[in-house]
Amino acid sequence: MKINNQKELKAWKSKLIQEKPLDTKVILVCAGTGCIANGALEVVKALNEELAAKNLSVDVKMDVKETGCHGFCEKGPLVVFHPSGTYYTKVKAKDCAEIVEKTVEKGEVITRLLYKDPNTKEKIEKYENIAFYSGQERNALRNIGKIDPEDISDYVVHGGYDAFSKAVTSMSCEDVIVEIEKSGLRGCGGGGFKTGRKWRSCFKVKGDKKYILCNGDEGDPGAFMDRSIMEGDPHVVLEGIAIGAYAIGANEAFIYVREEYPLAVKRLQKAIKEATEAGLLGDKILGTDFSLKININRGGGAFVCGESSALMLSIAGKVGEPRAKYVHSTEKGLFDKPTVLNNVETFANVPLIIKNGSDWFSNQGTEKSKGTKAFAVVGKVKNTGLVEVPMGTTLRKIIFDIGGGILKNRPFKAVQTGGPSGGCLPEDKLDLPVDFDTLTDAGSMMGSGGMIVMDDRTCMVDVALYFTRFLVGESCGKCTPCREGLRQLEKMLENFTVGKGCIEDLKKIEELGWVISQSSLCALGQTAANPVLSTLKYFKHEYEEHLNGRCSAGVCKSLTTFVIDEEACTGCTKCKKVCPVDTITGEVKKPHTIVQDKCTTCGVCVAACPVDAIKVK
Amino acid sequence: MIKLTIDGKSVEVSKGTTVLAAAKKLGIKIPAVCAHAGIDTFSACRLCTVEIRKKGWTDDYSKMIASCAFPAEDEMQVFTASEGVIKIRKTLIDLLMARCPDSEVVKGWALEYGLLKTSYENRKPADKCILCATCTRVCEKVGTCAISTNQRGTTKRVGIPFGEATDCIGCLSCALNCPTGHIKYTDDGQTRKIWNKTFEMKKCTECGKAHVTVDQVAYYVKKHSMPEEHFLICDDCKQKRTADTFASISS
Repeated sequence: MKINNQKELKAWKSKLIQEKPLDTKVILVCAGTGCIANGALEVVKALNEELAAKNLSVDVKMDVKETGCHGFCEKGPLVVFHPSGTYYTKVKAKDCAEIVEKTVEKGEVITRLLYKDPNTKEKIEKYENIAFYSGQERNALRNIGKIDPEDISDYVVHGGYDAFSKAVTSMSCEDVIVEIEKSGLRGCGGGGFKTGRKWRSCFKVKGDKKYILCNGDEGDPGAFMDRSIMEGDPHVVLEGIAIGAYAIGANEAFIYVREEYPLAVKRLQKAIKEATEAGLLGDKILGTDFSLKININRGGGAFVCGESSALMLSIAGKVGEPRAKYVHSTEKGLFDKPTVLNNVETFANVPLIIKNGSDWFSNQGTEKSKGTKAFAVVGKVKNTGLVEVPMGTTLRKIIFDIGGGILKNRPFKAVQTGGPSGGCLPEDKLDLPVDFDTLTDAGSMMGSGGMIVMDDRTCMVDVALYFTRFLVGESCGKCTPCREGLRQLEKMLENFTVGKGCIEDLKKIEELGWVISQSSLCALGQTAANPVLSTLKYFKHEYEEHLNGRCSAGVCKSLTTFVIDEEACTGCTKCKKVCPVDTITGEVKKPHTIVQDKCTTCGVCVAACPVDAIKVK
Repeated sequence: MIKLTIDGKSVEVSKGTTVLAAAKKLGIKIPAVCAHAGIDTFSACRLCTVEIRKKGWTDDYSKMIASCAFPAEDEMQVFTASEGVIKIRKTLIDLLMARCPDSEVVKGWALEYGLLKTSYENRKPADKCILCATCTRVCEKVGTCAISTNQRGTTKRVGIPFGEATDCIGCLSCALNCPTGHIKYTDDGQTRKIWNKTFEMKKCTECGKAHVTVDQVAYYVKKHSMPEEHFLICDDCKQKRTADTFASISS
């Protein structure tokens, strides 16, 4: 079906809603990458089979809908009943018969499958009452988990393409740019550059050909915000790009998706095909003079290609290395043409701003960072998953309220924000309102929104080494400070973790970190020293402790000796059972001992001990 | 015209001039290893980093930029030897020394900053390549694109695709422009060897010197439609011939 104008789009939407009102009962099964890995597709199959076998009456019957990621990946596969909001976690195919028999047919709740609050131990039935969701404000993620990402009509029913049709039929390019400028939207990919200003500078450049690019090369360890949007709501990305393209005068777009996201590519491809068939992309869209072609470009597995200039060279088929950007991409970008590059999440916010107005958006957030931001909260936290909160929410709220606190109620040590080149913030920064500027001031950064929570069993020197090593491997090697400097930083950190560090190295690390951050070519290098410098700033005592041959977290093997606290030990034998080298001795209900010569300091016993009796000597 | 000050001296340059070029006009020397007048800026060595303060910035704010790429701006102040700049330059040279401990050229730069040996750990095994990519960029400019950098980060190196120099014409542009003498070649007057490829040479019909590779002639004829006769005699003989012609005219 091809839509020729705005009126037809409205008519199509009304018809769809009439056929299937928004409150039609439906079973939503999360088919995000995490849930699929846990068997979500088998759950869908089993539910469909059970429903078909039952021959249910029309008022009881429900459809099963595969949706994008609900964000609570740890509890997957997730099954949600719409509109009641009943929320089941860790559903297996074998549970489906019971679900159909009880919940679908009789409206009964299966307590076994409900979410159990890790702190109150209370079983919670409804989606909206779970702290993980109730503390969130979902804008960019609004449709994810509700709509079928592979069906354009479901997106249209939920208000999709309204903003785009409003923009192309009743707003001038200037109007769109002013609206985005007024909203205060900043680049969600990490840079935090004002989107409106970027669009305006590209709009002002004269040129017959302009490009608009979408950066979906999300490579930060532990981050999956953009993946979830591309997989769960691909049309919102297309709509955001289309509005941007209209505003700056581009008629061709590229979405750069990393190779490791095949599902995102598949769903985006399908979305582009559907939108083109519906006349929402292609030539003379909705009867206007605006045309747009969207291409997908798959990355080749280089982290640095998420950097804007490297990304453009990569699309152009050249070596993906950054270039000096003293001439902005908005003047000379892809194929040397004026180009705008925004991140997936930024584009996902655009349709909402056009639809609801800039005031609605700028009323959320802080003075300088408006709206909301999605974070991938991972690590030693009870509720890991995808979280979207207004800018200015404190780290404490994200980690302890939404995230449910630290696993096993161990002490919090640090949170690493901003991906591999972000910094680690200690406990006294927990009440920091999260926005672009406060995080940078604290020595970390917003980045694309990765948030790794660490407990007392984390060694900060080891963390600094891990991220530095990641960046050594991902540095493109073009400029001297990043290529050579990071290698030397890695070497010095390595020395610390094996007890070969020296006090002079602390100063040297600091100085070299400064040089790398000041003289590197691109943002990767300029921020690469953050993990080292921030840990050195906030956890210097751990570095000093390593100098004295001890790693109190018990992570650096050659500096660790585990001993059992005889007073605390209850003799439960759990440690003895899990020890892979059988080096723990002791009788039941009597204090155990670790025989040191065979101990590999693997730490399995520490994790197994229920009373925390195994200590670092 | 754009007027800026570099180390307190003012200079006028045309729009689009880089800070490096503006400094050169004043006779201020900024080390820039990967900058080469004949090819596009690359901004990789970062030795040309300088400190700038733009019009409207407060006195306590300044920024480090690569002078080889940064265009000069009106009323900009540039500091080419501030404490920070020297610290960066010295550290980068120190790092390059650790990368190429056997390079006399790098040792020479280091001596200028009072560095006798690197304070970092030497790369093992090491060669003399500082990855300025002058060679690959010159090769691209020639049009052959026979060599490129491959791999990334610390494993990055200059090389030929899949170990075969298929597109190399043996012009030696890479080796002759290499600042550290990393790229090796041999030329015994009969054959030339570079990138594991042996090239047959054409001899000058006048003096008999081998002056160009057969592949070079074929490439120039094809790419630039040059007449093959152009390569019959060598550059020296051509010059001699021209000089003789002028001499005969003037006498």
